[in-house]
Amino acid sequence: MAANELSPVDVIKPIPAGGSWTDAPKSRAWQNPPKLVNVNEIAQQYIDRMSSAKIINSTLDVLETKVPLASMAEAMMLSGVASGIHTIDAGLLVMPVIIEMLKTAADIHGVEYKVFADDGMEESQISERVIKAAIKKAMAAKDVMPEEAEAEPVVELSGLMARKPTKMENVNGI
Amino acid sequence: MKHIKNYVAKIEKMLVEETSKQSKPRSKGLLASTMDKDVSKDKPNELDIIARYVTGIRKAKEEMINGRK
Repeated sequence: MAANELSPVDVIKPIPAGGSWTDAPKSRAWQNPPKLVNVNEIAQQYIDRMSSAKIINSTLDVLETKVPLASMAEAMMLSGVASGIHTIDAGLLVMPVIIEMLKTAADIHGVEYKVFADDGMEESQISERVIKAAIKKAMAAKDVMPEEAEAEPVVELSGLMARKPTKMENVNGI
Repeated sequence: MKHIKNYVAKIEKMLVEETSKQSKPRSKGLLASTMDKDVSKDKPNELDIIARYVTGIRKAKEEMINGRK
C-alpha cells in the first residue's frame, strides 16, 4: 500500500512496550547529565554561538517572517536542552540573554521585530474568540427568525390589448 | 510565555534600579559610614549575572551603532 493511502490512524501507532530499551543505555542526550551547569558558561556559550555570521543570517531570515523574538529564543533554548547542553531550568534563566542577542542583531541590521506575540495589542481589544462567538450567535438568531412573506411581483402589462385587472374585477363583480 | 515576559520585565526593572542608583547622589546621613562600606557577596545571584550580561550586550550594541555613524 502506498504511503499516501494510509489513514492517519494507521500512521500514528502507539509505541510498542520496551521501545526505550532498543538502544544502548545513556545513548540519548536526555539520559545524561548536561554539559554545562553554570549560568555564566551557558550565557557565554549562547553569545559565542549567536555571534557567528552564519547564525546571524539565518536568524534575520526568520525574524523577517515576523516571528516574535521570545518564541525564537525559546526554540533555541529548547534545542540546547534537547542536545544535552544544559537543563531546561538553566535555559530559562538565560532566556533574556538570548532575547537581547536577537534584539541586537535585528537592530543593527534594521529588521523590524516584536519581542512577544502579544506586543502592541491593547488589553481592551476584543479577542477573536469573542468575535467568533458573537457571529455564531447572530447567525443562529437569524435562522430562528421567520422569513418575511415575499410580495408577489407586479407585472406591468403593456400593449394595446392589455387588460387592466382592477377594472375587470369590477366588471366580473357586477 | 507569560512567565518569560514577567521574568524579562524583572530583569529590566533590576537594570533600571541599578542605573538610577548610580545617578543618585549619596547623601551624608547617619548611615553614611555603613553605606560606604563594601559589602562582598559570597555567591552572586543568577539574576545579577544575567542582568550584567544584558547590560554588556546593550553597551556593545551602542558601541557598534555609534561606531557606524
